[in-house]
Parts: sequence; structure tokens; C-alpha cells
Amino acid sequence: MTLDQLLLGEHATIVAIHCPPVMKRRLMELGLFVGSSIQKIATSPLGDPHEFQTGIVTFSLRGLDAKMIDITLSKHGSTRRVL
Amino acid sequence: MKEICLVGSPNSGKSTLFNCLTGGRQKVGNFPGVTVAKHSGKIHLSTGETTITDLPGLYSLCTYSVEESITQTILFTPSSDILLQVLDGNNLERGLFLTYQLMTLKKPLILAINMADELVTSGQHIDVDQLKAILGIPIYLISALKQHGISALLSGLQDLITLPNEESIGAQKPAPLSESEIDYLSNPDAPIDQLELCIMKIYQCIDACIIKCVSKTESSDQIASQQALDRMLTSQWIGLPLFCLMMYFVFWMTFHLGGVFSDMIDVAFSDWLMPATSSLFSLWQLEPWLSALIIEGGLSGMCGVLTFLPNIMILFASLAILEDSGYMARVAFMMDRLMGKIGLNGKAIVPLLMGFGCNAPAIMGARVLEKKEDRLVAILINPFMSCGARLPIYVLLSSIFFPMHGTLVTFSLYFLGLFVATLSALLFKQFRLSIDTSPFLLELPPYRMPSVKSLLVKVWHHSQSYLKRAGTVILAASVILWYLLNFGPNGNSDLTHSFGRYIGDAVSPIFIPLGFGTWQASLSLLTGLVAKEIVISNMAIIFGASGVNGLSNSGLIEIFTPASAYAFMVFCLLYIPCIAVISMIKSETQSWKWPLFSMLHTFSAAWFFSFLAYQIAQLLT
Repeated sequence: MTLDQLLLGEHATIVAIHCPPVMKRRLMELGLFVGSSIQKIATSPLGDPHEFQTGIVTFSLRGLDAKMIDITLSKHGSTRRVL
Repeated sequence: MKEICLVGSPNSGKSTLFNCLTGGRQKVGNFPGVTVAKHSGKIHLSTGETTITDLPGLYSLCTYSVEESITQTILFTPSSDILLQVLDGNNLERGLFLTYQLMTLKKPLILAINMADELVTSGQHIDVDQLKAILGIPIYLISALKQHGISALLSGLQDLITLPNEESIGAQKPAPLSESEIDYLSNPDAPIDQLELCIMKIYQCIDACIIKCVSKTESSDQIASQQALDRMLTSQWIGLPLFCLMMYFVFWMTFHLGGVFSDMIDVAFSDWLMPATSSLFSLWQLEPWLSALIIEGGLSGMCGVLTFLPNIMILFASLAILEDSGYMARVAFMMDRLMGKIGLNGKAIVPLLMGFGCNAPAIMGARVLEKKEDRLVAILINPFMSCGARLPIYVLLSSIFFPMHGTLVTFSLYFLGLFVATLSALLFKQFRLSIDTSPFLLELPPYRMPSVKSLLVKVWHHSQSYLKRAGTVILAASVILWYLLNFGPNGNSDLTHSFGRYIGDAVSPIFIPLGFGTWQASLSLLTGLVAKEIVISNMAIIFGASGVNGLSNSGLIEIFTPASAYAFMVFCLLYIPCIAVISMIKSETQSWKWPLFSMLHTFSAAWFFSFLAYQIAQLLT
């Protein structure tokens, strides 16, 4: 499943990031790697973009970009990065 | 003496610390070669004075926007300067990510972990001694806002300055990166897989720091309350209406609360200062023309502008609150899709909203956009955002012609500005080579109570520049206008034979279809090109009114009807921006092509919409 399919409040773990290098680099700078835990916080009133939280960083991502990130659902989130 | 460079990510409290260290006395200039505001100030250490420069904020050494790249250039220039990094104590990981990168620069480094007061209330504890040992860098816990720990930080800076650079750099314990990995960090074209390893190494170091030094990460309660707030403020049903309501409230406050103070200033000028000066002058037996020049030209022109200072202060304070609280980033988040429709990125909403304050810094603010074309569009549509200087025109005219519906009329004008900006962006979209596809990755800072002190500093800076304009450009323009109105080809003459009359008459035919083809209105608009506030000070001089209140029962009612007054306001809203904005467009686009284009574009838009407004209003009445 991909990140854009995550529902509000659900937690997941990143499995793969297929974004173009520039985007991937920025995600990594925010602390988002394969294995990191992520949670969906909100969706913009107009349906896109979406708000996510990883570690203690909150950021927004468009659905189009989120589609390129593979995830697996996880029961509980952790504020710790998994490396 | 070694100088100090202040670095840190945006929202870390960098500016607050800067104001705190320099006592708010700063020199604003430009970085060499570019027009990015350079704030520098003096700080007093026991061995003497040294310069501290506030660098534009950045998150990492690999930069994406113009502003960030300036910081990068300065950081990479070899010098003996000391780096002072400010970190947000609530978001230590992000700060340390930058710290580890700064350590690769091989410069003396000192850390100030900010917001110590918030750490205490949220029950977190940072073991500073332990962190110092791990990083090999002097670290100080401070609260820039409450001015805690500043003297300790100053003595830390003192020690670092006296210490030979080799010694302090030698003590640093950087992440285990190879030379080539260090290069990757600042190279935007670095191979992504190697870079991933490198960034992961840094994060491993950071995790080690956090585990050893932070006793309790942010409590889950706090995260939950932040998330709940986010869900509410950006929720599907109330997110956007709430934003509109907030903006309406901002304008309502500006209009009504500001009006109370405006009246007081007006009364002080017209009932007290002007009569007092007048009687003083007659006591001194001053030449009548000189006394008239000072009182009718200078004073009344300046009064016309000063009266609106309270309105503008409230507007700037409101914008600063929206920004400091973290709400502005949410507005960008909510607006991204809408802005996408006009070919822009959600971040473009920020310079647009800033334009409600003043277009000149707002055009500079368009630098948050990474793509050159995006920036150009954001710059060109910015003048349609009704700035604070245009507000006095609406306030005055609507109080005379629409006394019951002032806020509504004003709000409608702001809305029209937004509408024309949107339309223009759509027009430009047709001619654009590429439409924004750059990734929208926006970090949303935590919500925070805006600090009164930093609000006051911001409002003060803006008011200062407004006052400075009132005392220089506007004063000069008022005096020149007074001359134009009191002298004609035959020397000293009355209004009907003055230069001003002739100039106004020459221009006025253009405005006949718009309902205000009078020489008074034309002359005001012409001089308004210097600064929009002058439109009002002109009116005051033309109608010889003492004080703005005097204008309401003056000749204004004779040359305007409600319909033409509205059309006039529409014209003022949209027409050619003031000199300051034109020159800002020039410096930001590095060519004369775009400011000239902007002048043509805004003038045609103004004429068209003003014409439309007048014709429709006439049909209705």
C-alpha cells in the first residue's frame, strides 16, 4: 500500500521511497527513511495536500508525492525513528 | 576581532535572540551583490564590541531557495568568524541535524538551545553537560524571549573569541563522515544512495545524543493537543470559513479599533497643533506665504498620513500574529490546491497576505518560492494585494460616502484585489513555459503563542518606515503640491489658475468614463504614484481642510457621488504601484522589463475594473 491510502490518524512504517532524488533528499532531511514510522494527521479542506508526522516533525505532502512512498500499516506509532 | 554569524532554522527564535543580543539596535542593509536584508548589530563583550550578523534561516547545507543560498555562500567563505547556532529546544533533533552539518565547515561553533522556558513547562530536561561532552561544543540553555541565560551565553561567546580557532575546532566531535560524504551534504546533485547513508549516519549520531541527553521527549498529551488543533483549524468544514472569518476580523479591527485612535490624532492635529503653530507664526510675524506653506502644505499633508498610523499598526500586528503563531503555514497548506489552479504553489499565499501590509517586503517575500517563474508570477500579482497605504483612502471615502457600510466596502475592495490577482495569474499561466510541478514539502511548525515582545519589534519596524516616509517623501510631495496649487503661470494665484489645475485638467479626460474626471481626483492619483498615502494628503491640501475630519464636510461631496467614489477606490486599489514597489520589482527581477510591464498591466486592469464598477453602480442607482 502507498502513503496516500493511509487514513486519518493511522500509523504506518515506511517500506520504500520511490520519489525523485530531490524529493527523497528533502524527506531524508526531515528524518524520513525506510523504516521510519509515520502518521497521518490531517487533510486540507480542499482534499489535498495531506499532513503527516514523523518523529516530532510535522509536514505536508501532496497526494501525488505520497503515492510514491510504500508503507505497511502498523498498530502503534512511535516518536522514535527506526534505523 | 572575530565577528559572529547567527545561524539556525526558521522558527527557532533566531530573530528574537538577535534583538535580545543587540538590544534591538540593528543596522539593516543588503548582503553584497543581492538585495536580501542583512541585519547586523553590535554586541558588547567584556573585551570590547563585535559585530553580529543575522543570516537568513536554513535547515541544511543543501539549499533550495535564493535566501538560503546566501547563507550557504557566507558559511562556505573561509573566515575566522564564529558561528552561533540557535536551536529550538522543543525540536532538538532538527537543530542537531544542522549542527552536525555546521561542524563539517571547520569553524568555531557555539550552540544556544532556545525556549528553555517551554522545556520546563512541558516537563522535558536536556542534559547540557552530557551534550557538550558528546559534541565537543560549548552549549547554553537560553530563553531569548524571557532573556534567561543571555549573560552566560555572552561570556561563552567571549571565551570562544579569545580561544584560538584551531583549539575550538579541534575539540569538536563531528559525525564520522569521509571527505567525499561531507561534499555530498552541500551538493544538490549528490548521488542519492550515498547521500542516504551519509544522512543516516548523522541521524544515528543525533539519536545517540537524544537518548543520552533528553530525559523525556515531548509528552504525548502535547502532541495530541497540537494534532487536535491542526485537525480543527484545517478541517474540511470549518478550515476555510474560519480563515475568511479571521481575515474579516483583522480588517474589522483595523477599521474600527484603528479609527478610534485615528480620530484622536486627527483632533490633536487640527484642533491643537495647527492652530498653535499658526498663532506662533503670527506672533513671530512670519511671512504669510511661508506660514501657509508650512501649515497648509507640510503639516496638513503629513497629518493626512499620520492619522492612519494606528490602522496600519493594527494591520501589521495582526499579520505578525498570524505568522508567529504558526497559522500562516497552515494557510499555505489549505490553499495549495487552490493556488495550484492558478499555477502556483501553496507557499505563494504567504507573500500575497504579506502584501496586505506592504507590497515592497512582500515582493521580497516571494523568495520562498523556489522556481524562478513562480516567483515572477507571485511578484507581478502582488501589487493587487491592497497594501496598508491604500487603506486610508478607503477609510476616508467610505466614511463619507458609505457611512453605514465602511467595513463591507473595504472588505469588498480587498476581495476585488484578490480576484484581479487570481485573474492575472490565470492569464500568466497561459503564457508560462512550465507549470509548477516542484514538490510541495512544507514543514508545519508547532503552534505557538506569539510573543508580545517580538510583535512589538515587528510593528515598530514597520511603523518606523511608515513614519519615515511621512517625514520625507510625503512631506516633500505635500510641499511641492502646495506650490503647484498656489502658484500658476502668472505667479501667485488661486486654485482655478494654478499649475495643479492645469496638470489635473490635462489628465482628467482619461477618467471621465470612470466617473471621476475632475482635475482634483486626477492630480491626487498622479501624485499617488510617489506613495499611495499621498492621495489622501493631497485631498486635504486641495480642499484646504484642516485635518481629515474636515474633509468630510468639504468639497469632496461636490466632486464625487457614491458611485464615482467607489470607482475611484477601485482605481486606487489596482493602479500603478508606488515607486518603492516598482524599484523592488526591478531589483528582484534584475531587469526593467518587468516593472514596466507591471505598470502597464496594473494601469489597464485599474481602468477596466473601475469603468466596470462605475457603470454597474450607475445602473443600480
